[in-house]
Amino acid sequence: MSRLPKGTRTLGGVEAERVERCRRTFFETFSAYGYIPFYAPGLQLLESAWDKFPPRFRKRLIPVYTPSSEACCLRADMTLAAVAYLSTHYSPQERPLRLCYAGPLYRAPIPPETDFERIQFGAELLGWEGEGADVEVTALLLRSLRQLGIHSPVVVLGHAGFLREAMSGVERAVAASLMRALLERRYDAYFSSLDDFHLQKAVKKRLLSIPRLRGNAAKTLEEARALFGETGPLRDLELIVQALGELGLGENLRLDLALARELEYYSGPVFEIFSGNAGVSLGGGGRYDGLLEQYGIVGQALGFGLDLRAVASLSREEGAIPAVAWCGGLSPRVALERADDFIASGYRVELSWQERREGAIRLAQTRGYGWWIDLPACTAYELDPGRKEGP
Amino acid sequence: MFTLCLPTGRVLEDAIEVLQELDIPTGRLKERGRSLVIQEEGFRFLLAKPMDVPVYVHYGIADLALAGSDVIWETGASLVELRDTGRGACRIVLAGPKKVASLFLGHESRVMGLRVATKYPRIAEEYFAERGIQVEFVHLNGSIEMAPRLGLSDCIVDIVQTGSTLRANALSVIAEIAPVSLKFVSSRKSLQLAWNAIEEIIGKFASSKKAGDGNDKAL
Repeated sequence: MSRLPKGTRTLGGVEAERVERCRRTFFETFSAYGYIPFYAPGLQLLESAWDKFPPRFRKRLIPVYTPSSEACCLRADMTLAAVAYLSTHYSPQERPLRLCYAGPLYRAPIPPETDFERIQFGAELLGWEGEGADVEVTALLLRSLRQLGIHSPVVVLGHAGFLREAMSGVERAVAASLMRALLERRYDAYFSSLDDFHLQKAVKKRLLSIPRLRGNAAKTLEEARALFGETGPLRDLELIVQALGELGLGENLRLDLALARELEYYSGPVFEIFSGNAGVSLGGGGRYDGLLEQYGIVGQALGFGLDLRAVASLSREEGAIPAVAWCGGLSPRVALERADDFIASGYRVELSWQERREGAIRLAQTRGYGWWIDLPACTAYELDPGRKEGP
Repeated sequence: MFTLCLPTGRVLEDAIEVLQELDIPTGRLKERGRSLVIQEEGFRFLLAKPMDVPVYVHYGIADLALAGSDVIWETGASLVELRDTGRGACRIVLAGPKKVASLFLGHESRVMGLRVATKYPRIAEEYFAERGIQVEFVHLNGSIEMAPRLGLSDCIVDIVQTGSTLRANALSVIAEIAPVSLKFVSSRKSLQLAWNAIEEIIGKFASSKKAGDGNDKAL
């Protein structure tokens, strides 16, 4: 018996096909806009990563030693690798840099999840300022999802700077306690903390409002302005909302001004994407200027990561029509040329070199193919799963 | 259809009372018989074992749920904790016979290696680990109170409401670990995609609490 390590899985068949189709769609969309594919090692040195991760996240790292006895963890995050790559391979004059990647990431699961391995697609835009970058990344991401037949994903936008500004007048320990509650989405604890600490009435009123500042973008911005006035983060969000609206993506947007991401290096607009039945997000990302600073780079950066299996499970995009193509005694050259014609007209063919026509049909039916192609006759037949005889 | 998941067992009545206070129809819930999925006026109620409630929420089956804070802590599920209802109140405690209780008054070296019976292994482990006390755990699924009496463990970590079961088994509270009550929880997806419905329910609850205690919490 071949057993897999707990928390891992083999992907095959239709699921693997879907994941691959999603990976290709994302790569094609982003590489058309100058995003360069990027492959990072499967391990990251603990000495480089440790202080970049918050304590909660460190507990989810999976440590290993290399054959050279270097303490590492299985790659848990791709952004660090992207920033390190930028800082060492590109001069400031060559920025901005656009990267995209797909590969496995490893984090100890949060119950009731059991998998510690996930396949992630992500993109990073490093070294550019302004909301144009936020709009570019979000729009390309939504376009990719639409191409995959996911028409109603919801992008929830927040702003790390909004929360920091909202708590700027609050004692550091109190602010830390409130931020932790928001990060862990323990709103009851957030309210209790506000009760426990002595705060000015006006400040308390504003802080109490934060967890309900969510939903429709225009309405939420209006409510936030009434409470907090015109602030930089609210202006950032408005510009992003406006630009995405002009691109016809307004229906996909919501605001959540209490949104805080697990990795604390986010510093500007942040977002999460939701769709389908699962209770968790498909992924998310945001702006992380602070992380660049740690690598000695001045400027802004943003990126996102998406769970490819979760996206693939929602994907409704129909790819090429899968079919078995019977060569029927044709020479390999002629068979391949005729198969090329069918591929060009939207089929994905598996060649059958069997001598007997019936054998090729049976193989197609056994393997669950919906179509069978007679290459000598240059004809495609739809296989009726209910019928025993061939076309 | 808005789906609410409720825990079965002793806290179900508390949960139904909370729903009644919010004018959520509960007629069919009260006459549920053996049904575990009940529909009434735009609401679908799922009745699940308390420890399973976070799972239904996490996977997006339920939009909103009432779950005990003990269960939320023990399962470690990543949920959105919206409001504490204050209902179904009890405590998670460390309890044991008097002889064992006296050991905890002295240096921690005296309690190293004790055997602790519990149905909350995660909570118990965190409690002792934070104090640097190394103990052995026995994971039981019920009737925890009889473990010390039968020599299966030295003490227990369990929930206590009135304390009468503890007394009946010659146990006393050594330490309070955490208060327990029913909380409104949702998944991160529901928080964003079903926010209007959630806000209406939680908002009503906040208003009724505000009327009761003068608090001005909005969510």
